[in-house]
Amino acid sequence: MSKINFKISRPILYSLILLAAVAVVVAAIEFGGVYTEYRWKKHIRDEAEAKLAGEVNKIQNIILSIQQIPQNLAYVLEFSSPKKDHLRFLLDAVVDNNDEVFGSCIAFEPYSFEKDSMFYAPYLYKKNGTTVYVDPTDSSGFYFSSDWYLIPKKLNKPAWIEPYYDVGFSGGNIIMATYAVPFYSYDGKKESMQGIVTVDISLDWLSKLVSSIKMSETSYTVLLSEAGTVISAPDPQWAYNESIYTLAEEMNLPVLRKIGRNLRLGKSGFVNAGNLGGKKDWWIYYMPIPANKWGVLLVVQED
Amino acid sequence: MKNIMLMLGFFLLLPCAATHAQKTAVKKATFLPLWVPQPQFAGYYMAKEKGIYEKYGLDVTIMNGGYEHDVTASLKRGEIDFGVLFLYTGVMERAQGTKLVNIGQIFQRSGIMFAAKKTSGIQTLKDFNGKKIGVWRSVAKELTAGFLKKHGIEAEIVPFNTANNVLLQDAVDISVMMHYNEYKTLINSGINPDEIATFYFNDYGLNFPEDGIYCMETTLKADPERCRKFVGASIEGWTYALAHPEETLEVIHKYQILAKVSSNRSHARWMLNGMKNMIQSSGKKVREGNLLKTDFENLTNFLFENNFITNKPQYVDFYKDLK
Repeated sequence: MSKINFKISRPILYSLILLAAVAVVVAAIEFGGVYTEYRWKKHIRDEAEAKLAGEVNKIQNIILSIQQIPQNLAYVLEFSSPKKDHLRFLLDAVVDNNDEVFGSCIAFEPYSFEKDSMFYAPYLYKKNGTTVYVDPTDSSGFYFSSDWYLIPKKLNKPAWIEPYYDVGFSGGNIIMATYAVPFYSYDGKKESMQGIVTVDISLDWLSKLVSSIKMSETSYTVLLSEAGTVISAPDPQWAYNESIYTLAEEMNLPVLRKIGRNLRLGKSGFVNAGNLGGKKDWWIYYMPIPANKWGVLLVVQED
Repeated sequence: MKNIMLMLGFFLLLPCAATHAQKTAVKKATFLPLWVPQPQFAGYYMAKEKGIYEKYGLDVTIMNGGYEHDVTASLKRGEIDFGVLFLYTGVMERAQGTKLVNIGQIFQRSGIMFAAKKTSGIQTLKDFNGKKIGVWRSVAKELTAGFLKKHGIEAEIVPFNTANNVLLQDAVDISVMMHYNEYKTLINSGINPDEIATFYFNDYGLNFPEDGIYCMETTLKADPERCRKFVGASIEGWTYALAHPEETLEVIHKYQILAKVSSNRSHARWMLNGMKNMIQSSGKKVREGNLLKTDFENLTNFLFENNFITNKPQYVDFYKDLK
């Protein structure tokens, strides 16, 4: 067998060594860049997660304590047969003693409170530093097909109702959310629903709390309802008008739709939203609020 | 020379006299849409905004619609001159003795549908049996009841005020909705189109036209010319609105802000785009604003056969072609 000898001239050898050296340097720089980016992402992700987790936990506890209010009221109603005056007393206690509560209602099933009255749904709410009591007993107060009555009734369990923009009772154009709890009677054989107890909460305090979460000068937060409706955002025009899905369509950012759907499933995550027309990319950390399936987004610019 | 000056003076004064005549001929009219400001009524808002009503010699006030503003009741009480109603509402009112007339049929087809999440296992009409079906408490309930009866569906009927949240939160299994409205809201709440089972009324032989312009017979008799102008200007407003969608969306948004109505461009664009299909229904030969006798008779027969009306109004009494 013959042996093959490779003979490389010296200039070529030097060139190859130089080329290899350059390749190593480029690879090192590339790796360094990728590693730095990886470190940055990990750092931002960890920081965003830590910040949001703490705040979401706070919000979760507040929401759980709000949920307890109508649940307690429902419990009282199930174990007593209150008269009109007593109902007023109960509503006073709920609205006066809870800062977060804007209004509260005890709505009865047809002919349930009084045999000759189809409707009965006294409602107490705050206005201009005092409380206002309304006592609708006629069809003008028809409430059986409203979301806040129908949804917990048909689900047979408490429910958060999608936030709405109140221009009626408050007169102050407030975004509100309602937590509604069914209450029952038991005749020894079977349980039957007697009505729905609600608390309405203004979302101003929650918006302020969420808006205060900051990671940098340019970072901001967005609070979403279960259906993805924007409750608070830096652009006040978004609140109640846009959802994360309408923004996904208008901004041509499908990643927003994915975030909304993940939040509905109770998932959190960290995604790149692109540069949004600017020079640097934006990153979004999102986290659900388990108590009511709402979600918080922390939006951070790459730096 | 004196004669020339007189003639010159005469011709110079003519435009002023004509303008004066036009000003004095301007007639006031009040109009109530079926609902809050949204692209469903774009043609009327654009007729107002672009001076089309004015061009026709009308000074039109568009009132804010909504739950508290029932069009039929407002017409009966004489609070408004013109209003928008579904065709079936107009026919039912007429059958009950209300002397209102249809003077312009704007929508030529049905936009009503049932929708269900596919995760509920609903794929065909048979799957409706035994389920909870959400229907509007005060809108189109006869149409939905007739649809279910026609197909022998036995289910729990759940009347609601608004369609989406009850379906989203699974308080009902199936919900009635409009393709140009609530269906898009469902998608804009995170449900993908391929996750929604759809059942369009027009695919099941119930393609009844919807929005039309109505007034009381007395209004028409008192001033048919004003009615003719209102319908003509409104149709021209629709033509403008559909030809200038972005400008129309801006105008509608302005009215929505004034009425404190939630809105977004994604939904508004979808709805305005849907209006083309409602007004210029493909494959249907009909003049703009015209109510076809066959459409009227199909609907009256449906309502009569399902016992929603006990007498059939006559086409010639109900529809007045003002063209």
